[in-house]
Amino acid sequence: MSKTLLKDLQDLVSADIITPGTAEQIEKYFRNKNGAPSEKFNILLGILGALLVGLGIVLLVAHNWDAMPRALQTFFAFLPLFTGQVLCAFTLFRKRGNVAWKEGCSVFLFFSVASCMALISQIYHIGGSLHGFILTWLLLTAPLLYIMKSSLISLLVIACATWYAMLVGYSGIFSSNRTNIPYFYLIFLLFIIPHYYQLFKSAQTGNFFQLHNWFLVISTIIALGTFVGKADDLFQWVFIGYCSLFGIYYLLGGSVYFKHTRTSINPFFIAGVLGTIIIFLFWSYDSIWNELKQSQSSPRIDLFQSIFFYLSLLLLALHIYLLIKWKKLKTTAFDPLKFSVHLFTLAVLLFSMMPFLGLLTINMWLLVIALFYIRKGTIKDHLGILNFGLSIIAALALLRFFDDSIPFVWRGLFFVATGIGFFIANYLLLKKRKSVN
Amino acid sequence: MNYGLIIAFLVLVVIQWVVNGKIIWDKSEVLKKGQPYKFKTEPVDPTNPFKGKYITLTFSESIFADTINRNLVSNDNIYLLLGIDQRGYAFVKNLSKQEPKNDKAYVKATVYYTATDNDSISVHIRYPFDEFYMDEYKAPKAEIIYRESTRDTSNKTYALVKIWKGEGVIENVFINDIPIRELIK
Repeated sequence: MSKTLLKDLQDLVSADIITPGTAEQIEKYFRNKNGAPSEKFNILLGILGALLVGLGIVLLVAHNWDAMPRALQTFFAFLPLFTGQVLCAFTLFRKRGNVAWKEGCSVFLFFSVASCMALISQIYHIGGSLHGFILTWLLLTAPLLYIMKSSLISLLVIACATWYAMLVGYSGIFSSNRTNIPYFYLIFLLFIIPHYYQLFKSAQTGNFFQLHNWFLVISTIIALGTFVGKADDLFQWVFIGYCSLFGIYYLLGGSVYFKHTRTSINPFFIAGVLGTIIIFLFWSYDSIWNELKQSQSSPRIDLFQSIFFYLSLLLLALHIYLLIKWKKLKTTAFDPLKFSVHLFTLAVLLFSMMPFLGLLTINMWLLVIALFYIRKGTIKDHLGILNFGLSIIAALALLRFFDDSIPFVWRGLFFVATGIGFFIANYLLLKKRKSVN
Repeated sequence: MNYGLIIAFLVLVVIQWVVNGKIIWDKSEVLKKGQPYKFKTEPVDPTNPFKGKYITLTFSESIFADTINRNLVSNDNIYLLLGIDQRGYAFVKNLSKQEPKNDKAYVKATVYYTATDNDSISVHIRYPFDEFYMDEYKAPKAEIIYRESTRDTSNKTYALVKIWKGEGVIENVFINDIPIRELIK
């Protein structure tokens, strides 16, 4: 409890503003309230300590102490593993309720397994891919998530599974060969879901739940592309898949489940809005539409053979399902972002041979989204939302700055109009505020 | 006391030891009982974030001219029957898609890719033992020593590999019969 607050309380008592009894109650309240942060600090220290020591051991092992005899190297390979296992067993028996012990020991054992595997590989010069190493490591450590009930292990599993997916799915993506599909990523994702659901049910306001949201959003955005195989074959389906994912995130972010989460720390909402708008801005160029037209005429693989095609369909179906399910709960006006994925899907499928119509649809829809936010900002009297809407138009204008297909005069007029729009909209809103005050 | 969790933890502990212990056991068996083969090499120096620095061994004996079309594709498992040439180096006598039963001098490898020539099929081989791990300070020096030694074609660079029941473990890498680690000292 801060000394300033104590002094202020004494001053308030001596000035007869509050009674000594009230001062005591306030003091007691803050003392109790401050109990929680110190516990959180201990957990954070425990986790950080274990993370650093674990990573340190991995690096020490990577140095390769090849001058040591083989038997001694083997002993050191198993020493951290044994220590980690003993610490985890101790936590299971004696410190089960202690979060710092639980998380710290689990993380230490998680990295000990990696260092043990690495040392054995060094001693016997065992080759093999990095993704193979990560996969074995995860298979040997992921059960700790439920045995130790460690949320940090869950986060590490998400992070390492994403790394694995990237290594498998993105390696050689620009080569003519088809890349591999990281199926194990999906298994690990399914594996952590019960834990995530538990966090959602019991600790929605906790840091671990928020961290899981961010990790899952970033991880799925990175990993979805690893299921493409070879981007050329699927072309518009890659974007339909991503647009559906962002659409689902937008719905989730705005759902009742996240109504207590601030927009600035709501990863689903942020990813949903930004992701959708970025895809639309990307398709506001005529070159991508021309490329789509060309790709339709060249021979392609059978769509039905691609897992990404089914994944995209699944995401699209999920989006429609959530939209219908949550429609009854919402009473707000028409929101164009909710229907962006459907419009986008129809546009890229129907207008693939008519680039002009596709281009027009996407640009018009971007303007609709921008106007929606400008209107929302005005109604809510929120400068941030208003300027976000204007920024979409500004981004469109900025992208058109380099578009040679539009005459200079039109581009110039578009820029001037956008600039004037910014001034007028902000001026009007500020004026409205003043008059209300 | 949740006995289910404790049993699950004990099972995990056993698996973590068994998986790592099995690798050690298998590799030790190969080193103890395996027959030594010298594979001519061409090393370079990359890094693995967990295992550290190593030199990649590109073996001279990495292409086999096959006279039979076995319909091999990339990443197919194959068994290489090994022989020793007059200079004492290992060479591939033949290859097979099935594991040899009577022969002990064979190694399990994978097909990197195949190329069809006029009268034969070149099978490009990927050996399971192509990484030699070294101290992080020694590995770059090893690479320099190797490059200098390869300028002189009379130098002999090879990996001594113990082969046992299809598995191979690198025992050491030599330049002119001197272990590469000793050359760095």
